[in-house]
Amino acid sequence: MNKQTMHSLDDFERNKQPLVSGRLTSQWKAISFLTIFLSVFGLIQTTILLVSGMKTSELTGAMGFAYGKNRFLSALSENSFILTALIVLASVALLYVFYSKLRFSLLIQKSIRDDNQETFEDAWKNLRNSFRVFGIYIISAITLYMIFFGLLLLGSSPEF
Amino acid sequence: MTDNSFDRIPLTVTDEVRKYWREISHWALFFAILLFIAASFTGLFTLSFVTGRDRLPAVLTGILITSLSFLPGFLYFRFYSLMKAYLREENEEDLEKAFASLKWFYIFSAVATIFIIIFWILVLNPGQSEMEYE
Repeated sequence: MNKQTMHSLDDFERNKQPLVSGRLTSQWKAISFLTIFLSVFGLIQTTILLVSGMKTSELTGAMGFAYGKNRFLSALSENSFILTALIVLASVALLYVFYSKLRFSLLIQKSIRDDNQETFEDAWKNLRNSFRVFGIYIISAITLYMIFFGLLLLGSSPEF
Repeated sequence: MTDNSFDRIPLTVTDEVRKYWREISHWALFFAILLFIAASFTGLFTLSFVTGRDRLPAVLTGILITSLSFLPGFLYFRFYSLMKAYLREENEEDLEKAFASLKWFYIFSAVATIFIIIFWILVLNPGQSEMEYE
């Protein structure tokens, strides 16, 4: 089957699918303008988090002071690279979330402007990636908080 | 010179797009549940401050804060349920309503972000801190 026939078949298959209405495209345009603003703000905020993540040894020192003598916190302040690595990892994940959202915004606008089906599908793929990575990030953050809290309690108990 | 406008194909909702929307809506449900839990905690936290004689202003503030924290979760949940209905019945009205909910969620987020920026400007106001040091 040559390329021209395959292209025609693709068009035929697509013609059976529902078309996108003007009201939907205007809503997507509004969403894209809002997500551009939110993702740019998110990218700036995450960069600040990444820079501040380099100063974690001071943070663990302050936590140790706040909680008194805790074996877990003193062990963490001695190995502060673990916390630094976690913050860097979280920042990279968040940067990807906001980057995907920004790409979605730009691609959905481009696809509406050019009526480009490939760009349209790519845009939704980027929004899906943004949701997926943010969801995994939230699950990991909750799990880590629970582990951290458990170790904090164990570190302060005299039997441990 | 060729005219490309004749070759243009209008955007269509393909199976690939539907697959992405399905996954997005499932994640939206997950975030909605988390936001509902967070809103409940906020409600309980604000209620714990309702003590003393003048309870009405505290109760009203508590209701306002709880409803504000409940709203994003509700919008995400509405997006999920309407998207689910669209994927089942292919009714375009459901799809429009679903994206309207998502749009309102982003409007809420943008307004909240603007408030955060204003808060930062007020807290980190260099002119004010110089005056305090003087």
